[in-house]
Amino acid sequence: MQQRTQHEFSADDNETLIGLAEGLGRFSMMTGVVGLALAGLGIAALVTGGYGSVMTGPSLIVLGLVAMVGGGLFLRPRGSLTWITSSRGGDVTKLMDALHFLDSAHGVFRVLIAAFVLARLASFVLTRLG
Amino acid sequence: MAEYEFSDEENRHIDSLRRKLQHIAILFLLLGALQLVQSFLLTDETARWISLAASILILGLGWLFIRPLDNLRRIITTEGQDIREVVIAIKDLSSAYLGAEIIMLIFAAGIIIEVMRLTGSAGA
Repeated sequence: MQQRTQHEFSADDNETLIGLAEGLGRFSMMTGVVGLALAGLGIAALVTGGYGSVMTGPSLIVLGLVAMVGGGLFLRPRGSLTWITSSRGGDVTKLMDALHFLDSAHGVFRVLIAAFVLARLASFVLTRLG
Repeated sequence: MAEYEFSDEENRHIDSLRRKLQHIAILFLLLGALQLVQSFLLTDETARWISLAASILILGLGWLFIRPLDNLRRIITTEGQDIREVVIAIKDLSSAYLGAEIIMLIFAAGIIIEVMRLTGSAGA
C-alpha cells in the first residue's frame, strides 16, 4: 500500500504559490479587459457597419463576453492558491482543489484559443483564395 | 520525513491539467506559425514587421506553456520527488502566465486602436 504522509509547504514553496496566484489574478484581469475591448469593437462594428458583414459585430460581442467569463474562471484557482499560503494543514488537498479549478479554467481557455485559431485559419484561407 | 507521494486520483487530476496545457501550447504554436507565414506574404513593410513581432510573441508563449509539461509528466511517472516537481511546474506556469498577460495587454491595445480607427473613419 502506498505510504501517505502529510505535507506542509515551506515558506519558499508558499512564495511560488503566491507568485502563480498573483499571475493568475493579473491574467484574469487582462482577459476581462480584452473581452470588454472585443465587446466594444463589436458594438462599434454594429454602429458603423464596419467589416461589411452583419455577423461580425454580434460575433465579436459574444467572443468578448466569453473572454470575460473565461477570465473570471481563473479567479477561483487564484483564491485556492492564496488559501494554501494563509492557512495551515491540508496543503495538498487545497493544492488539488486549486489544480482542479485550474484544469476547468484551462478547458475554457483551450476552447477560446481553438476558436481563435480556427477563425484565423479561415480568414487566412479566404484571403488567399479571394 | 518521507516525501509526499500523490495518489492515483491526484495523479489523474495532474495528468488532465497537463494534457490541457499541452493542447494550449500546440494551439499557440499553430497560431504563431500561421502568423509567421502571413508575415512573409504582407507587402507593407511596417505591417510585416508588426506581424513578425506578433508571431514571435505567440511562438514564445507556446514554448512557455510547454515548459511545465515535463515536470507534470514526471509527477505521474516517477516516485519520491512529487512536491519538488509540482513546485517547479508552478514556477514555469507563472512564467507562462506572465507571457500570456503581456500578449493580452498588447492584444487589448490593438483592439482599442481598431475601435478608434473604426469609429474615427465612420465619423470622417
